[in-house]
Amino acid sequence: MTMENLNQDSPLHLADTLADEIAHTPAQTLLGEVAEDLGDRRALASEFDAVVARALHQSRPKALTAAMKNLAAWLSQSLLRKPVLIRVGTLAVLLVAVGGYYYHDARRTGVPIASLNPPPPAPRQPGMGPPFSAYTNDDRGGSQAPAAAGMPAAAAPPPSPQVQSDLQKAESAYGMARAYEARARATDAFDRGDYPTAIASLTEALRSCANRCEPEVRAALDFDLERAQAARNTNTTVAVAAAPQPAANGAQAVAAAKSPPLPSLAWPAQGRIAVSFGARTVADAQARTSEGITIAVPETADVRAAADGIVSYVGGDKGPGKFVLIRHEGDLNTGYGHLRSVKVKASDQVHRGEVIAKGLASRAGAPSQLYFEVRQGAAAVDPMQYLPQDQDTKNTRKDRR
Amino acid sequence: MTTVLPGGPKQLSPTLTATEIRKTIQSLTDGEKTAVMKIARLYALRTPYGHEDLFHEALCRLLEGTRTWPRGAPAVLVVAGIMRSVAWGWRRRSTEDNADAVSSAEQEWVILLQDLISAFDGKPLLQHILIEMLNGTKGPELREWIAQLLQQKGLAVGTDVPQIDSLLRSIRRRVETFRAQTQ
Repeated sequence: MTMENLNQDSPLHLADTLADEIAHTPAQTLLGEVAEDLGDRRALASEFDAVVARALHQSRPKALTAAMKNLAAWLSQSLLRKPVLIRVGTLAVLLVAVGGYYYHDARRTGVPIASLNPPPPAPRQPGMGPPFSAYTNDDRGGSQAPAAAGMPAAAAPPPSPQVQSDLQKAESAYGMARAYEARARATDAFDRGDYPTAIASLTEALRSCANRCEPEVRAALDFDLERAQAARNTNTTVAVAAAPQPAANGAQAVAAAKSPPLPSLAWPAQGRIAVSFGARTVADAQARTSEGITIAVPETADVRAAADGIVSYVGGDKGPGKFVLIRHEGDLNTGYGHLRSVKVKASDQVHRGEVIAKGLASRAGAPSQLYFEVRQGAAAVDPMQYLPQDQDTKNTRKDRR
Repeated sequence: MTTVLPGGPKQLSPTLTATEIRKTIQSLTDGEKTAVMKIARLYALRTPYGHEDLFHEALCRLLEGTRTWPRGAPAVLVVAGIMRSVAWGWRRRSTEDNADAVSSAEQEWVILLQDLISAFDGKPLLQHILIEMLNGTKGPELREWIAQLLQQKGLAVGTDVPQIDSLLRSIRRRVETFRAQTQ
């Protein structure tokens, strides 16, 4: 027998072997041994139960603490990292920039430059968005609906993957916002026939855009500037004569200028007219007027195309739901707002009476309403001129305020 | 015939969750519970804490997730493995904390082991096997060694498994008695 290898680990070695022996010993044998040693077969089992009960009781708060620690660690790693902050900041700047453009452009009314001098197939749309008067305001709770003419290209310019960093994106967006603002002023001036002012504004837009905007945007501004300069040089009297004088409501002026016969449209949905064309909203009674009608319809109602046409836009509506725009013959466009489940997509051909959306979205607690607008070109016109009058009698029109 | 739910059978994780561990622990038989506590007494030998503390610590580590329970592994072996690890850590920490008293601790160990071996006086075969176990021989190697020892002494022909089991059980019982007396 040798004891030369005995050390502090020896009891552990012994315990390993004996533990293995215990694990393979029949339960009845073990229980018999306990009964022999302690006088109770369940003596050790009772010890076991007591320890388990204590451990389970203590593990609950520990588990909760561990879960909270894991959550805190995840939050700190996921949300507080610098790249994420930069992205969030960039997104905020982009939203402000694009929103600023829409805001300034929506304040302007009048005939778009496109209607005076129809542009060639646009080589300049991707970065800059629609030509001058692409967006106008409506009265749907302060929301701004995309107008007919430039809708397909009206979506916010997506961040370019080629941009080197998020900060560069933000700077670019800032320059573009300034350019949009100057361009909107140029459009106003152009529509009034004030070509020198238009040229000055476009020059300012180009200056704001310098080294910040993408090439497509600069090309679009150059294109507009050339047109303005050409109009000034040739003194396009036709354009000046055709353009309406600045009016409080240019859209209505344009609508009045349209000559009959008017095409007939179908009602997009059955219901009472809650807000009529031209009615001023309570929220903004000073300036905004409804450029369409609002029809109170059941929440599950189907929304149908007013006439044959091609879907030119499907997208978000600043109010609840989605917005669909359909282009018809004769440069007539119809818009449908607050839609819940849209069944068509851009470039789809739709027929009169075809269901384009199912259900209407509404804010919590508010009644469901369909917003319907008709535009001749980009100018909003009263949809009631196009809708069948017999249907009109079924709909209780609210007085125009 | 089995019914397959949409999406296919549920993929089980390779280890038990805390909930599954709770259920498994609470559903053990008295025999398994007794085995666990007997093993806890062995591993707790000469640790700063008792066998209940050792088992409690192992259970808490399982429930907290710092130790895992491989799915399908026997409960007694899983808990025994964790208790062994915890006891090892306790002994090591105890030694580190009392660096000045290492030599005295070693002396205590030597005395303890000598006492343990002395407890087998009059049983030379068991004593011989015990020393081999204390030297670190375990598992199949130990059984093979015992079989050869029995053959050398003319006590067995070939490998007599029941006899080896009986010898090991006798040693275990004497060690348990020794532990109870020295506590």
